[in-house]
Amino acid sequence: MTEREVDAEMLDNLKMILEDRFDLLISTYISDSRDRSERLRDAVEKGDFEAIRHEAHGLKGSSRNIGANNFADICAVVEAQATQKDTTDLEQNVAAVEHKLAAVLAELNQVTH
Amino acid sequence: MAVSEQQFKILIAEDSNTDRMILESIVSQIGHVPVTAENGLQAIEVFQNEKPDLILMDVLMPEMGGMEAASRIRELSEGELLPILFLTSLTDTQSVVECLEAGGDDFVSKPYNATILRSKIRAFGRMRDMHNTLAEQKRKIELNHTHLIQEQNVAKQVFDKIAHTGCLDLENIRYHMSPLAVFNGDVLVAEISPTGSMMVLLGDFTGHGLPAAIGSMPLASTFYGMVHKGFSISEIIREINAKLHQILPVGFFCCATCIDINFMKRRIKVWNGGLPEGYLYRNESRTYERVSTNYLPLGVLSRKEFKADTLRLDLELGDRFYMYSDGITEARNEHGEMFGEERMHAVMNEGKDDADLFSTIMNTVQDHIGSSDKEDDISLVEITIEDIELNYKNEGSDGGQRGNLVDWSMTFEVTAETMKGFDPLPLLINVITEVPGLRQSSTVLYTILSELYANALEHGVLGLESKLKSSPQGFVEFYKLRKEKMAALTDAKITFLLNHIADEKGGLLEIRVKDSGEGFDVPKPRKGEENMNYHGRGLSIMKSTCERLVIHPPGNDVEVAFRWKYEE
Repeated sequence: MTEREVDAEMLDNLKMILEDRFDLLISTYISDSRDRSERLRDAVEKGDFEAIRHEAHGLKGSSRNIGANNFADICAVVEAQATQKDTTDLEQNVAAVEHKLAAVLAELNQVTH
Repeated sequence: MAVSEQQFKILIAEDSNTDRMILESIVSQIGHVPVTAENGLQAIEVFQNEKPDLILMDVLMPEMGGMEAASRIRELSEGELLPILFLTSLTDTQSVVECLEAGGDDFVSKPYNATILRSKIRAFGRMRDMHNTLAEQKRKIELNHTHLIQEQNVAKQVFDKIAHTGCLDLENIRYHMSPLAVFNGDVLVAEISPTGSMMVLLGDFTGHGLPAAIGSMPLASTFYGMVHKGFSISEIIREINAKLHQILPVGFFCCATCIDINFMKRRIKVWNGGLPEGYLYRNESRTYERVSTNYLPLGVLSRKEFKADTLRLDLELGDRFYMYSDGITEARNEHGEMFGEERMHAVMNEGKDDADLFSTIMNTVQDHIGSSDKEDDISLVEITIEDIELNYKNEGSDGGQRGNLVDWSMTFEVTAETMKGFDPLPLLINVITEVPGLRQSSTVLYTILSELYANALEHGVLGLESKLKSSPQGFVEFYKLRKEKMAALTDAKITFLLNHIADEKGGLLEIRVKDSGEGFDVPKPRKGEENMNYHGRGLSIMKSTCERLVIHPPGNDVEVAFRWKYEE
């Protein structure tokens, strides 16, 4: 069975709050998180822990706000690793972030048609 | 939804577009106005331009982080109430502490929840209301305080005009009064009377502040008004008492010491009620006497019950009189111990050869109080008996610019009943001193009038022999007879006829006093002797001061003429 990446209740809530700006919110999230994900990859290649931490933190925050909680959890792991400058499995974890983000974005694309 | 909810302007500082959009929408939806910034630097800029009521601040932002921005905004807002809520998913203790130390008031964690955010903003609204109420009350209190100070200043200015320094600038008077003495209830007035006496009154009203100051005004105006008109110390004290009794509420009164020093006659009259006893320092014997009449303070008793009798003491050159309010005896040291009368006596005892006893008293009291910042509540007066000539000041003379008495005459008649209880001299002096030039001479005129009146009354109307007064026993006899005859007096009359003629240099005042007595044999002046031996010493004074002196037969009608000139 496939688990949903984005909390449906959270999305309904956001629709109520944002009304006609909801689609704009989702497209903003999609493009911003793609940018962040690319900057995260660059930072890992440069070994810039401060940048890794910052991008992971940003991805985590906005993802929680739209209800992408599993994805936010993985971002939290990377953020914590960057804070501790812990490189164990960092590559794999960042790859997991990219993989999971693709799934989140796919779901969101369906929501906004 | 929200009925009468306060609307705040809320600054959202958040670098994530998604999060910012969500917060903006929530803030709008719950009825407030959002303004946004994408980093710390922008947040400071927007804060300065928009003056938001509350700030939602992300911690991690490019350019400048939320904590630094919060600190800077705190500095800029200068103590105004500005709640800052940090937006964070940070949950560990260290971050919480950092946020609070950077000036954060609360946290909002992700995911954002409209209900929670609304309650938090409402809570800060209540805090803000409370803060504003406090600030408003503080402002009102400050305003009231300023107002009170202004009122006191005005009151002090008015008071200083009424209770001017009088003759306190004379060299033989030293005194210390707190600059705000009037608001401590202390009052000191002094003036030279046309009778040549120096009148000084030191008073201490009950209470502090304006209630204490108010009574000083009628006291001072009565004092100066009556001293100028030549009233005696007893009459002045009686009048002040009656006035204060009439106007002051129950429980308000004025402890006072009032003295009348005549430097020519070398005597002092003292009335003392409620204030500590005065000290008369005797220069020759190096001793001091405690002087008190122990009456009730001014304003307590009605006119009928009031006693205005004074204590009379002879003075010698170099004697000094001290009076003070209980601010000295009640001055407390750091242990709350009062200076007390015993210490005061000790200072006086040790100060027998002290030429600067005034300073010694002041210094001893100050040493007792120590370096406390309490307000100075000390009033002390020292008067030295010197051989000085007192000039009755002609206040308010402006050389005839106002309507002056120029040529005038008047007849003033007193009958037996009036003679028994009324002194007509102040009234006459009051009229005469309306002529500005004559006011300067009011001391001399008072002497002339009182001699003429005394002669008309005692030797004319009462028929007393002046010879009696030449021996001490006779003196006693004279006053005994005077009292008896005065009481028995029924049909008598003394008439004053005053006539004033002005000229360009000044004027001539003719005074004629007739009595209903039998008169006496006017001794014919012997050849080469101008001094007619009229009753007592009064004649020589009149001879030296008056242009003309005529005694009309049968000796119950005396006429003098007093010439005065404008001062150069």
